[in-house]
Amino acid sequence: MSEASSALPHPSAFDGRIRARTRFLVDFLKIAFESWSGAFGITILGFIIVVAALSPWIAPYDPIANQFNAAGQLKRLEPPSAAHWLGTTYYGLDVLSQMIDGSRIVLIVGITCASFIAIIGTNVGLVAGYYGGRVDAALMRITGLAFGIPFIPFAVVLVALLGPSLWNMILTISLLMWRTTARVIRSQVLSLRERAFVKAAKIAGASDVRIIYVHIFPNVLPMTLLYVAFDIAWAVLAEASISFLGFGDPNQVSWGQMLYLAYVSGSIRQAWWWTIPPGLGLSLFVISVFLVGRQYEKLASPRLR
Amino acid sequence: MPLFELDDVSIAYHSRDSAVFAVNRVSLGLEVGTALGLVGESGCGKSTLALATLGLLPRFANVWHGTIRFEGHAVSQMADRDLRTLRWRRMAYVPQSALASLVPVHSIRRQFRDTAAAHGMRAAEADRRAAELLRRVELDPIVLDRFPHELSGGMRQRAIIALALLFRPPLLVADEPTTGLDVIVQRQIVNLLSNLRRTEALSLLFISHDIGVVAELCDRIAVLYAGEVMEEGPTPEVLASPSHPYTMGLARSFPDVRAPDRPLVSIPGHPPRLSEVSNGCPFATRCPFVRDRCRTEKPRKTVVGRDRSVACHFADEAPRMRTIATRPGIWEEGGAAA
Amino acid sequence: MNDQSSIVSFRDVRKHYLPHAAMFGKAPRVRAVDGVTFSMAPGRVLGIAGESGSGKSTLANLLVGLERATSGEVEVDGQVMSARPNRGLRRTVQMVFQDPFASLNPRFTVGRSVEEPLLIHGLGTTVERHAQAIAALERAELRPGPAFMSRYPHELSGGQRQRVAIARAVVLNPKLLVADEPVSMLDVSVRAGILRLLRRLVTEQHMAMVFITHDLSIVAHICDELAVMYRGRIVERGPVRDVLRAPAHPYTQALIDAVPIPDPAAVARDLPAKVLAGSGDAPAAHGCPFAPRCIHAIPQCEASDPPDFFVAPTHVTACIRSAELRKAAP
Repeated sequence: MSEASSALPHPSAFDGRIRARTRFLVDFLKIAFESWSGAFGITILGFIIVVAALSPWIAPYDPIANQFNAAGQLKRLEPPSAAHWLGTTYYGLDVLSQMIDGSRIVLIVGITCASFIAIIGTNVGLVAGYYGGRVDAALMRITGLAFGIPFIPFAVVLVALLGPSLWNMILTISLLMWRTTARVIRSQVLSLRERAFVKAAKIAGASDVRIIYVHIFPNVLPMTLLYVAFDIAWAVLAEASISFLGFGDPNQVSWGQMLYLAYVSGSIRQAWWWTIPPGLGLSLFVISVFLVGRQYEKLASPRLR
Repeated sequence: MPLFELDDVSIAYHSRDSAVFAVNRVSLGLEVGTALGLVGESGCGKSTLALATLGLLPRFANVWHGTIRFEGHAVSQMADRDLRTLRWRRMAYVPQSALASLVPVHSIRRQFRDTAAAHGMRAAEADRRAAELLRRVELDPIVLDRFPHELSGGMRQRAIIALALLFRPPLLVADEPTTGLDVIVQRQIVNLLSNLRRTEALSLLFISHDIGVVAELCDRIAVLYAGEVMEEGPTPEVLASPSHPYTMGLARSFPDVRAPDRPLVSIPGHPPRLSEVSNGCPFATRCPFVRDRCRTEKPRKTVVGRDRSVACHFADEAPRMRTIATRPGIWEEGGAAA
Repeated sequence: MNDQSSIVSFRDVRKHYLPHAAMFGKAPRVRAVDGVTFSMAPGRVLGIAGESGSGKSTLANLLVGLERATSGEVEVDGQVMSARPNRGLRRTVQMVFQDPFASLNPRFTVGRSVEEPLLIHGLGTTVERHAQAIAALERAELRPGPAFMSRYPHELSGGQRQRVAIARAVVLNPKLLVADEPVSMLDVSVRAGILRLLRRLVTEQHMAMVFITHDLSIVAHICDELAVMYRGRIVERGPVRDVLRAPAHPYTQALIDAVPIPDPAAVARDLPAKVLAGSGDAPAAHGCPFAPRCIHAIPQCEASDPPDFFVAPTHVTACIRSAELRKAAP
């Protein structure tokens, strides 16, 4: 080990971080496959991700193009056939293509909302938990407000004010759902800030910001990531609910919207090929996320293994 | 017949793909009316033994080999239902942290009643016994209506001891009852246990890392290291003339407040993890007298004198080793003295 | 002894806590530190011994600036120590904690933990910091240093973790090290090694050290002077061997008598029941805090605060009857 003679940073200073990151990913996948439920979950999720990524290329038809038969009639409410594996909707649109296209929304909404929720909730939790006192009281009051507001009515009002676009929906969901993360992170921080290593950092002269983000945050990160997993599922369900009620983005195909249109067109009883796929798709997605998240809990707290 | 006996006992902790042995072929006996002290550092298996005695091992641990006998019954093989008749009535347990073992939202009276009810004593008699026992441990019975957090550490520990004596058990298993207490409070508890031994005809299995307390309370001492017994015998003899290098080092690492100039010893290295299994003597990696045989062959129990035993290949060289052990230099890192 | 060259100076320092408005109407102050005055020369090791409730941990917090005194002056290296000391003062005094595991960030490697103080103060380049961390680890007898840099705390034994904590504390070359029960959670067979390490570092780095402990048996092996605390006050202070061999305060005597003797051949001196009876309620505002438990107490003990009595030029105690008791005792 040579002393500081060259200008380059010493390789071992970075090794640890890179090794840690790849080890984390490998560990994550390994953990997911450790049980049948986890393997199932991650397979479904993987499948949905692949479909969403490749959707423009694998959808057999344009999801918003009306399908006509040889005689020029609209293929309305056709049951599954060789040409249309999942049949057509009341409006003559191919269900399979809609499912494939809708998977994109699932992922976009899920991941975007979960990220926003994680950022807002974690920071609120960190600041409230660390500073305590009036700051904590104020932030917790706001959090309590977020808990008190019922989601659907709030969504309806916001959509009425801002218009039904995808981004407004993401905004709506993110504005309310950070509350649980905030509370959970805060309680973790409350116990962490009393630990000796935090005091050691203070005594060494670390500023509050440094202590919060460099020392405490890495220790709450596993919990944050865990909640990100669950929040993806909640966000997707939230979007589906809003869309089902008719407040979704009319220009975006989503599974919730498919259910809405099926309902609104009166076909919900007969066209099982139109209602089951989106319902099943949403259920499978949510279940998978929960199953994988549960496996991840074991990574975050090894005692559960 | 000894009141309590460990016969070639091994206790294993199981994880999904492996098992580690916290206790490895330990044989010890406790005669009626005596006190045996189990001394050792972290990982020596003493707490595991204490739990196993009362059948309180967690689900993922079990007595893998050997038998634990109490009053002739093989308690390590008994079903929990049968063990319950023995537990608390014939053998009771005093845990290390009273705060962790008392229910924080129940009054002391309620704890007594609940324990009594679990083992077949009615509430009225429980109350009577509780008041009597609290007085015996020098607590005012008014404590019965207090909650654990309202009592000081010493008072809680005494309450726990009183609770253990509810059914006048002949055997008390005490797991580090004085650790974490202030020194004056510790003196109280040690005095109390000493008195109780006489007045209640109590036999005591006393587990501690503190040789000083064991020296005062126990007739016999067993020194454990990495789940094995290194040495065992009457306390004054073992401490005055230890036969095992670990005992020699351990005894010298305890400072004596009245002899501040006696040099303090520190054994280099650290106690091994449970997962680090060795075919030879577990102390080989830290022993200043280590020889090749120590690393490959496990020492057998050698009888020394009338009622002492030691597990060391070179037990007959003990007097020589003892003399060398008094030189602090040999306990330095790399200071071998075979 | 309050001259400019003291590394530590406490002048009538008090730290009182007001608990939450109590549920039953009473809200007595907790007088954790209740009028402590002392100073300490650089390069010396001062032991502070006491039981729980003595105020020793609060004293440690005041020394390192984790808490601010309610009244009185706390000075370290000639500067006033408050709850938000300046950067310079933060480099002057460092702390080693009791729990070796909790004092290291579980997500940091050993190297990262030891480099953190250097990072905070922006000292050196990446390579220089790396080298300094290795040097600090090797000074703490963790060799080879580079091998330890990438380990995590959970991979190490208790003694090794404490050495890492010590390396982190000395990497900035502080003038004062506050060690709060640094060995009480370690196995007995490794304690002496840590104590020797601390002693060596004190000498090599010309540091002063305040060593806080509840275990009187180890103070003689590391401290030059010993101060005994009871209920927020220092009841005795002097050269460590003098205090242990010929204690001038009844509480010190009780502490010494209470320690179990590892030598079974020795006969233990028993403690008077009054002392054993325990502390009970909070002490009164005036008078000797130990008076309710002291077998030598006279009415005057509870009436007024005991003055300082000098047994010897550097050995002082707060007991009115110290002189006559020492004459009477063998």
